[in-house]
Amino acid sequence: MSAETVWLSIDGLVQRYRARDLSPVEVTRALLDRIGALQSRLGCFLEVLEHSALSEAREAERRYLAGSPFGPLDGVPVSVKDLFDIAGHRTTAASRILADSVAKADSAVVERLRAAGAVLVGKTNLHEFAYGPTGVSPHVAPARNPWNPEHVAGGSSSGSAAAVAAGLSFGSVGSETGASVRRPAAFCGVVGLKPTSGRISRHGMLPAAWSLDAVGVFARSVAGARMMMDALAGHDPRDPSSSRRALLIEPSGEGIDGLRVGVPRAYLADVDAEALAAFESVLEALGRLGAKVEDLPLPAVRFTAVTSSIVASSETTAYHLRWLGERPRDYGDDVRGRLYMGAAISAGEYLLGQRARRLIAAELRDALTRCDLLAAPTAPGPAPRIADGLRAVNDRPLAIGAHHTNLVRLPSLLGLPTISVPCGWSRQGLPLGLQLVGRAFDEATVIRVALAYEQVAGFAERRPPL
Amino acid sequence: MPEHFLTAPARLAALEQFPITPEEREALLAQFEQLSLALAALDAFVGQETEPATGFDPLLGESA
Repeated sequence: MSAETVWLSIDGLVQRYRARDLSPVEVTRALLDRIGALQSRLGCFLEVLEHSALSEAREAERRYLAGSPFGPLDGVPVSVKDLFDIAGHRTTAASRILADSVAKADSAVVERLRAAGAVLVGKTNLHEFAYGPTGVSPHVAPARNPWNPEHVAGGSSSGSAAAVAAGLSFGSVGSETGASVRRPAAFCGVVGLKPTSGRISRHGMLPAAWSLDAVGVFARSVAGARMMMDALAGHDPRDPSSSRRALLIEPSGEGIDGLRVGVPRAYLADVDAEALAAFESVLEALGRLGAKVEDLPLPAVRFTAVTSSIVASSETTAYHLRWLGERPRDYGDDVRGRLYMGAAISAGEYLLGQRARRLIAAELRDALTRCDLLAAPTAPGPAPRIADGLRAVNDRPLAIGAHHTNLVRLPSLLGLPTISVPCGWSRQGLPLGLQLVGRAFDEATVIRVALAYEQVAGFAERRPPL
Repeated sequence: MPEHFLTAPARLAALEQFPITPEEREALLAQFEQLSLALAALDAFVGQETEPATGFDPLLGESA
């Protein structure tokens, strides 16, 4: 088997399985060997499921040989953020508090991955309790950026993005409350897709903030991310936010001629020159493909970051309040500080946030009648150095005004479908991301534009220098 | 700042049940000053009549 196999796209891998040109067992073994070789450098995983992964791969191989694979992910090695339960394994959330917490049952995400035939190779690293943007926590070694291990992978789903970028997992499942799928996807140069909130069940996922949390997926191509989403989406009565709406995706390959792309330019002032130049190149490419790019003024969006922060702080602290009282020193300093912040917000102030949320949602609903989707840089620059700490991420949760944090938090605040795709590399060789945001339940348009851009950009083949 | 929002020291006093260190106290006071300013601006934006979103609505697929 070629060493190149670990870099196949999910659809490419499945085609090779169907042609009996590759064996799920060989591929899984190769991936586990690669994880073993790179784990100490990159720290992507908190647990590697070597024994069960090989067993699952053998079952997948038998199904292919019998001509009856389970589904589109059969035999595909994937990983899940250590926020999702796998029966009999610990769900630690990279915390000290849950260091010994063993799950009794599979999360809905894991159930669906198993039903699709996926091979679970491990549980990925994250920011402690999925509550921070860097992926750097005091209790475990951080997941590092495969493009330069001195830089953060981005939080909170750091290990998922890094594992996919490093060829240690063909796909991965993460979650976001603010930007925890798209930010690490952009920093690591992979695709991060968060469907409309409610598409994928959160049952068996440790919560951060109930009214904001959503499941998202990672892959090295848009088609791969779509396959992951397809396998995971569907109604689940165990999750009160689960939607009954059917997932309808148009056939891929359709062009984007005539689509209206709105650009909230007022919020790009603090985006660095390289990220901005890469984004302008994207807009030119979309224009050449026939899309109509228009400036989109969104005045209420200047309150997005603070609204998201107030709601997230209150809800997250509500979940953690007992532990915060009993074991405050078992949290990392940054997470404990955020939890104290939530404890200092009154009920009336929390509701002020929820009231602002309604106004921002109304503005977006109106804007998305005038354009088909929004485009922006995913992050204001490439991944910062781990040594430069939290401030270097340039997240501005309490700042009101025309700054970029509003844009990255917008789709999770409103539950809208969103994707980050690679759109360039900095002079230092670090990836830059493009964020697209669509109307509720219109994953089809988001994926259509992302696919069209990915095809002309040709970035899906780039690999980190490992 | 509107008088109906707590001051930063009052917010800190509301956390007396937690074992907050002097260093944390300083950091929190600075954050609470920022929070109070943000709340005042948000309050002016929202006004008195807007009803709260109830959170994510799975039927609408967005915050409602």
